[in-house]
Amino acid sequence: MRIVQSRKPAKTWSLLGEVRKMPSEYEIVTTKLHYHYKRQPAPFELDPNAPINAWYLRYREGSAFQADAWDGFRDPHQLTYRAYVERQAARENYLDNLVDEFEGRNHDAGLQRQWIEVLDQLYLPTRFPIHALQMTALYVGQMAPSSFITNAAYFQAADELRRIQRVAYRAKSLSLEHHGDLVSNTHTRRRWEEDAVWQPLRETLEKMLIAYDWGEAFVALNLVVKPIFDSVFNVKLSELARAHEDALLALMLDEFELDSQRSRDWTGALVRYAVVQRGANTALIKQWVDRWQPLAYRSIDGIVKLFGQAPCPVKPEAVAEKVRAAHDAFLAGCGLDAVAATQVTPIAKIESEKSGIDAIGDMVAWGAHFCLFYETREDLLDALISYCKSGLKNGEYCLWVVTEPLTIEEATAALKQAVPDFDRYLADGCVEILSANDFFLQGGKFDRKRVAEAMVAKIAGVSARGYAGVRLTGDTSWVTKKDWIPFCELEDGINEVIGNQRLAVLCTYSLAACGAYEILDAVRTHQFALARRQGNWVVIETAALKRAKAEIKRLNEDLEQRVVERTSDLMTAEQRYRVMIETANDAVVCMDESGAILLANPATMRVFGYEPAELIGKPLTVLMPELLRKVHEDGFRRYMVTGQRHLNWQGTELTGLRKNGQEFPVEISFGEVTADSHRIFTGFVQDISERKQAEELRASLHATQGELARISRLTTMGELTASIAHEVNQPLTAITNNGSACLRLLVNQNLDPEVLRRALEEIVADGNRASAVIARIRGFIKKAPAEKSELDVNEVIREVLALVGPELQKNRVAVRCESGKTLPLVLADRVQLQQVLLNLIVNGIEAMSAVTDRPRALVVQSQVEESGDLMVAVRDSGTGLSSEADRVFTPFFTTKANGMGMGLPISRSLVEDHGGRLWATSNSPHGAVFSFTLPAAGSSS
Amino acid sequence: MTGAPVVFVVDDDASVRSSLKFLLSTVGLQAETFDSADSFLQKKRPDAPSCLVLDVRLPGLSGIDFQRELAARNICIPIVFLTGHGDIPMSVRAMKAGAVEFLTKPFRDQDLLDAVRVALDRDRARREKETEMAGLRRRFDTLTSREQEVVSMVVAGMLNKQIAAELGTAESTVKVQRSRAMEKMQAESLAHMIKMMQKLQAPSEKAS
Repeated sequence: MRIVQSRKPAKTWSLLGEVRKMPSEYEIVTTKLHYHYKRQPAPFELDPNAPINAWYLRYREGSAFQADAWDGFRDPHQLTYRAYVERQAARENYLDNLVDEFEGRNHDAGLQRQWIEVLDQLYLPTRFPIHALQMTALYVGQMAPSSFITNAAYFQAADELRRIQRVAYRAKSLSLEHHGDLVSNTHTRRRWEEDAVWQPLRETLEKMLIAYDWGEAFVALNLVVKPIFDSVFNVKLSELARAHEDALLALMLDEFELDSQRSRDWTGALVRYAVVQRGANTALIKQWVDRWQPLAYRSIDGIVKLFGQAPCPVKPEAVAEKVRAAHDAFLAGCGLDAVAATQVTPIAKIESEKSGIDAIGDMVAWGAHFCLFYETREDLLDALISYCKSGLKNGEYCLWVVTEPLTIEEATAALKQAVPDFDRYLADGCVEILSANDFFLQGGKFDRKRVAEAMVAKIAGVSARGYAGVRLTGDTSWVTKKDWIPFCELEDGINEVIGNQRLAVLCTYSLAACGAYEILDAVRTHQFALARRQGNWVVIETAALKRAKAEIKRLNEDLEQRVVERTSDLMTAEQRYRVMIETANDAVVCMDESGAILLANPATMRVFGYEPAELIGKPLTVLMPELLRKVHEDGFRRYMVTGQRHLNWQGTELTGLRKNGQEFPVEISFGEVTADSHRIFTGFVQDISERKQAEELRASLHATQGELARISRLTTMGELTASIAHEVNQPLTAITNNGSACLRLLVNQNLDPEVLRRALEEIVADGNRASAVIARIRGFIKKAPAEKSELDVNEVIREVLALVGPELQKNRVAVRCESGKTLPLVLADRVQLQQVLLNLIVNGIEAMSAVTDRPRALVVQSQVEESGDLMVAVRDSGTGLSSEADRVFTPFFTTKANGMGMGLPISRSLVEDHGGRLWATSNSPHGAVFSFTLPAAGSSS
Repeated sequence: MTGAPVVFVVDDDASVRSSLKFLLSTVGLQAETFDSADSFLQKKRPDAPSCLVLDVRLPGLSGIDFQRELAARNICIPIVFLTGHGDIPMSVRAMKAGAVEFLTKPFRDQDLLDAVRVALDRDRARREKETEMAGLRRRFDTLTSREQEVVSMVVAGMLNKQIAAELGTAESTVKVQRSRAMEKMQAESLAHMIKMMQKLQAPSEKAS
């Protein structure tokens, strides 16, 4: 047995995937029209190496201009084919009317001959460049990775075509008034191809036509060439035309500027989108802008000269200036102004110090421990003098341990000679010269541990005195064979000790005293070794040294890389946040601890009416109404002191004060951050005036609905006035009759107490009856808001039937109630339920008023449905419904001569308010059935 | 032979019926109550002056239709209409159709009693009229055909001589027939005779 799985019916927009709510028309018709972007293995179903595939892969998928998801971009004008055609058809109509109007006034005949000359040179040839703009726009659209971008580009191309055909038209009509050359293709083409002023533009456009990379094409066209071109040929030319009383041209160009504005709008939106998607796109776009901008400016240099040659000339520089300013403003609006360099604290590089010994150059790291082999005393002195001098000059402490054959006096004398002010250093204790006996061999013995401890103590003591560093040097000639190995261990240990201290240790070894083994040991225990070669000190590379150097180099490179990355990351992050803040719809305001505004975003203009720059430094309270300022200040102070908040920081409704003094409702969310031990508070301010208005509207709509329902009840009551009056007057008549009769008997002194008592009883009973009727009616038409309570539907049916009793009798309608045994209660408003039933029953009675050949029967059924809902049906045997049964529910539809037609629509909305449905069907053999459901009380509807 | 006047009350509301009966009893009027027009029609009319107090809105037949029905059946009974709501067109129609009075509930007791009185008087007058007419017609029927002829010619103003010539008899015969007719008709004078004959010859008056 095959199990058939039913498919969920697809929605019209199933292409969009799982979406929560119905997408807009714009989204439905624009989403995913491309199948070929990033299609595997190639965009088109051809050989992956086919030229067309290669083209797209190279210039689109392979472009540097990338985003994670291009499909998120939206044209701010949300143009669809339908919307675009509708819009532009209306605009073309406008232009046609404009042209007719001016032609009717013989406008062309009134133009100066010299102005016609200007047009011939400056305006008529624009057919050609605009064609190039159109072709590039089509290319961008063809190559774009998202159908949203394609559409925007194609509509832009259509805008260009619109311009061109008007140029052609104007050429023809001007030629009719002036001279035939104006419409001659050859003539105008010659201007374009040969006039010097046009050639730079022509070159730029031809280059743009071969800018195949789709990102570059987009930037070149929409960010550079087109805006600059439109600036000159829409805005500036329009001004020039006005100056020459060519109002027709001016108005036409103003119209085309609207199209250009739309182009700039979607361009800006795409740029901002691309930057948010990938921060690296900013640099890429700027790179392209930097490449194309000079070309574009050069293109207009010659053309603006023509502005200076018109009968009413305009300075070419002024025109160029304006065009540049407008273009800069446009680029800034797209978020492409220079990003301020962020302050990045340089991570400390590994410092290097002058060692003083040329061969070493800069000691790459503190903690240098190296050895030096010398032959003669002169060699030793030479190196050490240099070493100590450098240290003293750097503000370091120097300790020189001398041993035979060098004496302290000699060392001192040598230093005195080499270092100026040496005495002062000596006096200050910056330099100490000790003998090996004192330093290494205390008590004649070499105790490694003691020496090590002494060294550490010395270094610590010295460091505490605030020296930039410590330099040690000691000769090793005193080391005997016995002490050699412990001494090497000491040397080994030094490496650990000096680990990260600002300490340099230079151990000198006499070549005369060292054999091969000793030399090897020395080299092993030091980072590097120095020796004199051909009169020069040379560093002997050791493996350790090599490794260290490589490590340091690697570390430095790594550090540099990280700095660059962090800088870039910081910039990207900052840019991203900046973009978010800059483009936020809500006003974002930051203030410091003193309550002064630190910064505000552009939306502040829209929300408060202040330019962001105006607010900086001002207290936050300027944005609040006066009455609220004290409350804010007290609250803020309390928060600063106690940390207690007096508002909900996640969103509070307050009142804001605009620059123009207008107060308006806002919703504000707060945040706080501590930076550099400063506390900064941020507020996100949303103007909720519209939301408030909508709430008010909704409330008043609700009230109006209630009023309408009440009026409907009144109307129904009005229709039943006869019945009502009758019902009330019966008991009243009985009362007055009984009362009058008793009075008469009294007059005749003929009143039997028993008779009187019976009469009074009847009076009371009738009085109650009358007031019950009134109460029922009053309850029906009172104005109270809907009060739901648990009702027994049958009881309400009975009440309503009682109300219409007289009507039923008058119309000779037989009524029957059919009710299910145990009906659940419903949660409903009694009056509204009565209203619905009354409406249906009265309708039923009226439907049967024309019936004469069969009994007039009205049946009111109530039962429980399977779903647990209650269902009530009112059946009549009247004229029945026409084919469109549901039409009766449309407002103002009525078959009655005096009817208003509102009863059924109101009844339906009342039923639906209670969670039910009201519908009509045909009864058999005659008449109609009006049924409604109500959910049972306690059921979750 | 006439009985005590009776007022017929037709109203679908029980307390209205009983209170009306009570009220009428205070002026010594007897009332019979019915809850519908049909039940009234089924009851035989007593031989006494009577009138009908009728609510315009009744189950089944409306009051106005009932008025028409009675007229169609040639039942001449004066009607006092009561209504729970004042409706000018309805009241005009009712009055044009010959109702005695049209009162809106609740009404002043005096208004009702006055209307009933008027209605009963009207009925009494009609009955008297009928009785009189019946008597006249009976007497007239006792006349021979020749006597009837002579009487009608006398009343037309013809002299005996002319009547004799018309009928082809002797004047003396005419004289004799004329005096015998006057005796039978119990006419006291010629003028009286003429009046009686006029009454007999008048087109049938509308009842009530």
